[in-house]
Amino acid sequence: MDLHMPLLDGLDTARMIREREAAEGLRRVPIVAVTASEATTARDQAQESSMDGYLAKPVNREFLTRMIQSVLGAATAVQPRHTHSEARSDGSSLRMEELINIGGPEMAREALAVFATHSRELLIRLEDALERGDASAAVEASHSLKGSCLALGADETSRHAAGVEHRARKGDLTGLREALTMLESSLHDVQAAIAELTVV
Amino acid sequence: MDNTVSLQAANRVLVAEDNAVNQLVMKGLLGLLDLEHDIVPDGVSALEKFESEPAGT
Repeated sequence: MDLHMPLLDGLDTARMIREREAAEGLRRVPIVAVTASEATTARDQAQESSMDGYLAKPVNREFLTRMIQSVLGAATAVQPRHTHSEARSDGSSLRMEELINIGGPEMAREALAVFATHSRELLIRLEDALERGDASAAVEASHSLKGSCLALGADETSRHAAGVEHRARKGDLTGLREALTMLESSLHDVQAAIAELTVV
Repeated sequence: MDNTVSLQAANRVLVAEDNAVNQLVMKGLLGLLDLEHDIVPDGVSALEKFESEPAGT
């Protein structure tokens, strides 16, 4: 369950599923939060909305496997279980090999193409949000961009997106302009790298 | 952590994720783990899916 989604976010969705289960005497289905938020925030939120654990983005095979085993082994888990990806030391390289291992070269190519389009759209939305002084739209767009960057292993760019998100949350529009400039430059490098990349 | 639990005990996985890049990654991972899955883009669709096909059915 992604926590940030349109229409109904992950926390409310999980709460409503739990309410429905209680009302109808249904078996409790394991729910795992998948989030690009900070670990402590994610843990508290997952616990609050009766989820069984959380996974930090980017999700990989090992952590997903362990989490599924964990929630299946404890249908009545009280404490959320945490599985956290190690921080990557190499911020410059995209995790192409991992993506190819996960879904084959076709999926990796598609992910790159989707990222290229998606990230351009989100930058436009960020610029627009800044112009209108709409901090909450900037939070949404930067959080989404952070998630996409993490999925591809564009870690440095994801940190810049996190910087923009942080300032937008504080309503710091001046700081946001500065952070957005850094994000744009970093994203430009990633987009250029993607354009050069041939996935075979 | 009990590592003896078979992944296949999760007969179906519902993924609620709005980000298209992350959808691709989750689809790939669940395929790799040979788990049947559905992917929906928001909470409302997730609830609808949950209500139409509760766990265990």
